[in-house]
Amino acid sequence: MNTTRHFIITSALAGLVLAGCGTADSAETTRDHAEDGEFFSVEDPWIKATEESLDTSSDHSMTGAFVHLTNVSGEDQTIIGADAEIAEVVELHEVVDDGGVNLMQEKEGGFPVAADERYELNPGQDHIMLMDLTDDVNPGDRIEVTLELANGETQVIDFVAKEYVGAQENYGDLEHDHGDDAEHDHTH
Amino acid sequence: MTNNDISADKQPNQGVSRRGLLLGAGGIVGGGLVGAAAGYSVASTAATAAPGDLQQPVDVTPGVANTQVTVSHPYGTDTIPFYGPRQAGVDTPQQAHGVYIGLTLKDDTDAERLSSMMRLLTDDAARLTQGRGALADLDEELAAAPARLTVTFGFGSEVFARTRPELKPAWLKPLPKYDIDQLDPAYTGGDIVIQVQGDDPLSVAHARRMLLKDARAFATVAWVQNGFTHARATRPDNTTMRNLFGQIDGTGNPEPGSEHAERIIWGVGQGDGSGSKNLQPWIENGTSMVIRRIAMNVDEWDELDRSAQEGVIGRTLGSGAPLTGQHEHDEPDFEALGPSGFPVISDIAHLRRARSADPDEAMFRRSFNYDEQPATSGDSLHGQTGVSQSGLIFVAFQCDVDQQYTPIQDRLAETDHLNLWTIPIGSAVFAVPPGCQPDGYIGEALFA
Repeated sequence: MNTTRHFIITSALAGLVLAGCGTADSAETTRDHAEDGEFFSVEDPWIKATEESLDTSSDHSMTGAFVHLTNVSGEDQTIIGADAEIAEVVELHEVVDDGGVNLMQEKEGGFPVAADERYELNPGQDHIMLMDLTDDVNPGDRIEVTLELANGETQVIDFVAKEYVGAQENYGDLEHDHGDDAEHDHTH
Repeated sequence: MTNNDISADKQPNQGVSRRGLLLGAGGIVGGGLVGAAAGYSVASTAATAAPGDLQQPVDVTPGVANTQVTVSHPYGTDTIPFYGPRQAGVDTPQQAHGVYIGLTLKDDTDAERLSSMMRLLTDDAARLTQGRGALADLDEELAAAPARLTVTFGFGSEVFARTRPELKPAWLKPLPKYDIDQLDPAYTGGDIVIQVQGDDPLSVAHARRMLLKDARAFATVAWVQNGFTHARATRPDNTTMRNLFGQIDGTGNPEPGSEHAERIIWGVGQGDGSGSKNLQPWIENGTSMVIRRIAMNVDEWDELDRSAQEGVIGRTLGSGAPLTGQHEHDEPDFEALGPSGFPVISDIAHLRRARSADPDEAMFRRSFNYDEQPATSGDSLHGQTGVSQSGLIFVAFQCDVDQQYTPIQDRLAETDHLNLWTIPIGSAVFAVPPGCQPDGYIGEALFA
């Protein structure tokens, strides 16, 4: 972790990266499950639980939140920040490929969502990063996160906590394969 | 997704052809199955059931990863609605595969956590049964062919103890101890049951795993029972299942949707008015579920010739007709005497012993066969001969276990010729809560 707020993906979220999936628009097939909000219709909001029933090496101090948004406000919007009671720090993150190593970092300018467009926050892609958690996130908990828009407005989204362990349990082999130095533990 | 099979399946002899007509009318499928409506015979079936009629390739997108998966329409794509006043998987058409999972709640799973669990599991079931991956599903392609997947939840006493004890039905307790029983804890009891049924073992397996992934924070697995009937396409829809003794099993079931079924399963209405029980559902659109694991000694059953096998049950093996009739659903004539003056249907025949004069004393059976790895010969339980370990996951739904199920079980436990070849080795009773709407979850009444 360095001072420019780049994050080497640690064990807690490595699984999310491995789970990375396509960004293509799948609104057609799933839009009917969406819940309408003032600015965005909201589909599949979930947050990674920090309390897990499997014995993993998860990091309890941070987690990620994911959701598929569709801009129903009629005009372009930009999500410039987020806030949650359970975290001291909430940031909008992107995942970038830095020479074969996925790095999470704060996304410059936030998440721009054009009118009527869909914007997906997925593991391994753009997501909401919650750090310095003030409470456990148990499976099934519902966690409110407030999106802050460039126009000064907000929209609150209720995220349900799911256990999501990814492949974080043992990275010994990956570490070996990549021949990375210690700082790059658990990255892929 | 189509879900025309529910209406179609209520008409046993027309299910297949009606499907063909419906699809044909919609322009999805050609005239193939329409011909079957004209005359149902082996020849016309063989001619019309060409590949494609039941498996038109269609591309579906099961979830967020935007992958396209090619599945078969309609048998792969058929869905049974999840949301509704009643849970699916009780009197909806029976599928080819059934998995029963008994859960034991963890000590710290209090009412609030239990509510969280049921919300998660309800969401999983709602998505998976409609051909969609679960939330945060890494393997959503496995959900692409729901094939009439249903997920049904039942609650044991412990759920009521941790939520609203006053709602617990009086019949929610272990069945009486029967002399015939040799209950194995590995298949007995449980705080919650999840019944996963579907025609595609792949989507059933995926649903099972996704549900257990979300349950593991709250509960541990007490037991799992895997069962099967016939593959959907091999017999006309709504064919009564056949058990591994070769018997047609479930003929006496009330016809789903009929007045009789409404009363027997859901405690609604008066049936034909001749029943003697005071049937009150424990909650509107709720019912009860009894799961009995019945070991069947198929290897000793072999020692009987066919007529002896038919005598034990009181029905012919081929059609399932009573020994006094021609067709499966003919009423048995218990008075009829054979040439030697003995009843054609013997005094200890299963059919006679199971029958009640009181139409309220009935259940709705929805059983599956099991066929496990043979255990060592000489094992204490029947049916473990070193060749076979087979049996029945006997599942019965009824409004009131004490009034409807137990009297029949009492009679069968006392005397039933079939008991010589069968042993109950597992037993569990659950209260089945109502269904829910998209803004609710299964069991919500217990958390009100």
